[in-house]
Amino acid sequence: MSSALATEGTTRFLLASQPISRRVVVVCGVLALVLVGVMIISAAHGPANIPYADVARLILRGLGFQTGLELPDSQFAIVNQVRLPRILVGALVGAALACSGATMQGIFRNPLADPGIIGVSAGGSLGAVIAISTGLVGESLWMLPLFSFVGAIGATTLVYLLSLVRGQSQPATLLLAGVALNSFLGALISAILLFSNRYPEVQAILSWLIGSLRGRGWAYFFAIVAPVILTTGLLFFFARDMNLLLLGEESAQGLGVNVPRTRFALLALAALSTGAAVSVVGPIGFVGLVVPHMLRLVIGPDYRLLLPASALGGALFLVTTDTVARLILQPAELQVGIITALLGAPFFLYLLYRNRRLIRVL
Amino acid sequence: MSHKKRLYTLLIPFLLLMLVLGACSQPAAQPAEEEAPATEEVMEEATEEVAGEEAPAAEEAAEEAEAPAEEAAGEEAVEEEAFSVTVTDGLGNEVTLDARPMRIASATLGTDEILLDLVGPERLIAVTNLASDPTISNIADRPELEQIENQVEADPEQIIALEPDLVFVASFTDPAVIEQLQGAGVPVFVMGFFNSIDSIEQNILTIGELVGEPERAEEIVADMNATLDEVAAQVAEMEGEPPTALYLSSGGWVAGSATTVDDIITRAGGVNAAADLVDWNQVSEETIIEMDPDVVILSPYVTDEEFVDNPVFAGLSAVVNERVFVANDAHLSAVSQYVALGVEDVFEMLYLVPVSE
Amino acid sequence: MDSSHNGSGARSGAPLIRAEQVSYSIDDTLILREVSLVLHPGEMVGLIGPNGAGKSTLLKVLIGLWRGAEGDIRLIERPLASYTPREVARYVAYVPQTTAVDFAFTVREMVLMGRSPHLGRFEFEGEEDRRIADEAMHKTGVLHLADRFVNTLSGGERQRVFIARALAQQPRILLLDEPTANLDIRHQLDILDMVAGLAGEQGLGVIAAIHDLNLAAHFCGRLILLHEGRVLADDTPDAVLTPQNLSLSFGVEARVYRDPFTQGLRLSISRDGNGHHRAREEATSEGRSGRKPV
Repeated sequence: MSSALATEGTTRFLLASQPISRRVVVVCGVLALVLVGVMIISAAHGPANIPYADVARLILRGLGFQTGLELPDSQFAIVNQVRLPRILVGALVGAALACSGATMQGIFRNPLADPGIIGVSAGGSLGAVIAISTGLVGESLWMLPLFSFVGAIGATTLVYLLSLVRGQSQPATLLLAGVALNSFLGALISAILLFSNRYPEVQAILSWLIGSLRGRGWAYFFAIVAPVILTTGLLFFFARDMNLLLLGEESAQGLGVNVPRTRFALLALAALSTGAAVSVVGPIGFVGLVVPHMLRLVIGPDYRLLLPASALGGALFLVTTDTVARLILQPAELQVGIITALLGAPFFLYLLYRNRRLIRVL
Repeated sequence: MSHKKRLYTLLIPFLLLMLVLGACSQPAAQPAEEEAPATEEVMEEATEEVAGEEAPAAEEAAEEAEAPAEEAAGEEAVEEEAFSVTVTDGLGNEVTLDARPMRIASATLGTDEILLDLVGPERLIAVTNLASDPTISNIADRPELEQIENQVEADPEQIIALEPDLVFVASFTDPAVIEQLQGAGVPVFVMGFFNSIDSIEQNILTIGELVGEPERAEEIVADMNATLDEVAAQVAEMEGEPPTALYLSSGGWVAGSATTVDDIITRAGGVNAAADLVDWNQVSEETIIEMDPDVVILSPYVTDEEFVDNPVFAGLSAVVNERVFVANDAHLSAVSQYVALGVEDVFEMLYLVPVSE
Repeated sequence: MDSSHNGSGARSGAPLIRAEQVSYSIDDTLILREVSLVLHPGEMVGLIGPNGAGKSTLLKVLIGLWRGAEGDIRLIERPLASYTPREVARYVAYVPQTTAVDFAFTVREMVLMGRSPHLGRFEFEGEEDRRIADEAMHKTGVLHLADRFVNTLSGGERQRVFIARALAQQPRILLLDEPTANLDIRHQLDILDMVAGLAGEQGLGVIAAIHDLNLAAHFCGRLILLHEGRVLADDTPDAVLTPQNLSLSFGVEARVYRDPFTQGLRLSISRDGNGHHRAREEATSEGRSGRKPV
């Protein structure tokens, strides 16, 4: 037995010998409980200090129950209109990004793949930057998400079409087309930034490019709840196919996977899911790359477990980091995109270091 | 053999570059020569003087040649002979001028505004392209602006080509650009970062000294103080608790203490609701709800969805009492004498009465 | 397991694969030209031929991995075109040439994936599936590795795991693309011995592309020699491995003889018309094979 398994791999090792159905229940159960716990903590903390009991009453009041206790309207607004929708949007976005990331890593059989690799984030960013720099953001709340979503899907479609060889999309060409388009779009964004001489505009663009959950109210939640749950749910549908894809195209096909069709479906779902997420919060980095890897180190690569765990883990990661972003400098706040990288990178490096003997089996 | 060949090929780009540079500098020098040979001479001296720091011989030669140039300059000749000024700029560097600057290039909006009132369009050869943007510039509608031929960005090539004898840049200008300008022998004054009205006034006086217009600078500052005193007098007459005010920019950025806006609010007789925060900060909506300021001053970039139509803020006192105003950012973000107008604006927002003249 | 039951035996029942006049081209280059072949249950057929002869392509075309071939392919009495990939996977197991895996699946997880053509979208493997997988691992001798990570295994072990996964599919046809490539001689023998045994015991139809002619002759009851996309010969090893055929297809000079110890078919090969570069293919399994003479 390889000594690599001796300590760090133990959890994973023990779990792997259990039937998959049991592992899904145990792992997802634990993650869901932790997620609910973090959500409660997040809802109860912020620049405004509101006791847990009052937070509970305020939420009940928000749900239409009578609590019999008079609490200030401002607290009601803080809990029900600021914190709750923000937490839920964060959870949805985190789930979408992590699941899409896991999917991309499967499609490309490449641990470095993330949702941005096929141009979703860059396309979404360009769309948003155009909306900001043309002043269209002022027209309606939905201009920016709309432009961003169109940009995200447009860029991905372009990458996909460019990668077609004899009517089929090959991962290698897809990857290269993605890299090329990403730098092209990045250059366009930089050009717009440089030509924009209005400081607030530049600041708005930069701040969007880092990614933030600030000010994401119920309207944003309702805008993405259906697309994210739908696309993520459909990804679960392909969980076993993704396992087989990890074995290589031929093995997968030999085991009954219609590889071109499956690959297209997965790309489309991941792009839609990421596009929806990016369009409301900006291209928050790191979640899609790191969350699936962190989970793989513990629970292994089986997508039937990894996908639901990534959804919960991504939600947990983003809600946690956003809570930190809100609290660390309070009453001022940081953008969550900074915290995901600031917290995520070292934590990931720590995991890599502890599991360095297992890295080759990532 | 092959090594030599490679060396030569390396030289080719350099030769090309020199050719291009030569071609570029030629036309820039040409018109000046034709129009006024006298000024051209002065300019040459100026550059030689800076270059001559290491070569005293060249400096002497330049001094000798100074006399006829000054005669050409006419009645100011006597004054100029005595002109020698050294000031400290915003980065703490000493800027020394041995001749009255006649071709001043301004690469920041703040100095555009200050210099237009200080030296007029005759001695300003360039202002920024922001100067004509009415949303942020206080001099956008000034007819003299049209007399200034060039609108520049902080681009060393563009600026050096104008052959200025003094350049104003800002502390946020790329240090490499400043380096290049200084390398070209052009005196550079770096505007510091200013976060109070006093520091802006001090800055106007320093610039006045540098460009040889100290009296005019004092007049400008006196005008500012007159306006500020006017407001202060009216504030003193107001009764009750001073109202709290919050300046909110797009994306949840608020002006904390140690900002010009904080100073403006204070001088206008208000209390900055975000004074607990230092400098500019991004805050969550709940922080704003907690602050619950009497008056909210919005930057023009804040969209309706972001604040006015945002249900989150529906319960704010300022919203309920309809005390939400959109700022004239040209006044509130000014780092020039026009900042005094910002104090008037805010006073009117806080007390809903006009400033009496 | 020994190789006394090599696939030359039972030709009972309807053919598992019947291909007629199959041609296949990639980008206007004809890779397969009018290939016809038949595979019966219990047969182990060796697919031989020089590099680029079309061995891998033929295997992929036969199970519909690569679609768009001309000609007629029937899989268990039905046209291949009428199968979905999932249906094909219930009858045919395919072990590709490269078995590299970058992700840390355990051996058991990997073998269980062989069950997926038989499972519904959201169905997890049940007790029966785990039993089938354990049995497949037992047959290929990797049960003791069940909880190891696939990517920590040696090449030979990994090849066995892939064959175990193929067996877990409970196929009627097993296609192997160079199952012995990159293995040492001992593992080559082990793998082929095992596969030949499976064909004999379970009535599987096996087609294996094999590089090594001596190994192919040793384990396969029938050889198909491909040359430039055509079937040059399709018969017993004795009939296929003639000096004439080998000279035509491989461009080598071959002498065919009987091993004095085992009576097995042996080849001595040198480069055509050049005695200086003599590359002898050594006899491979002296002293351990009890297989009967062909």
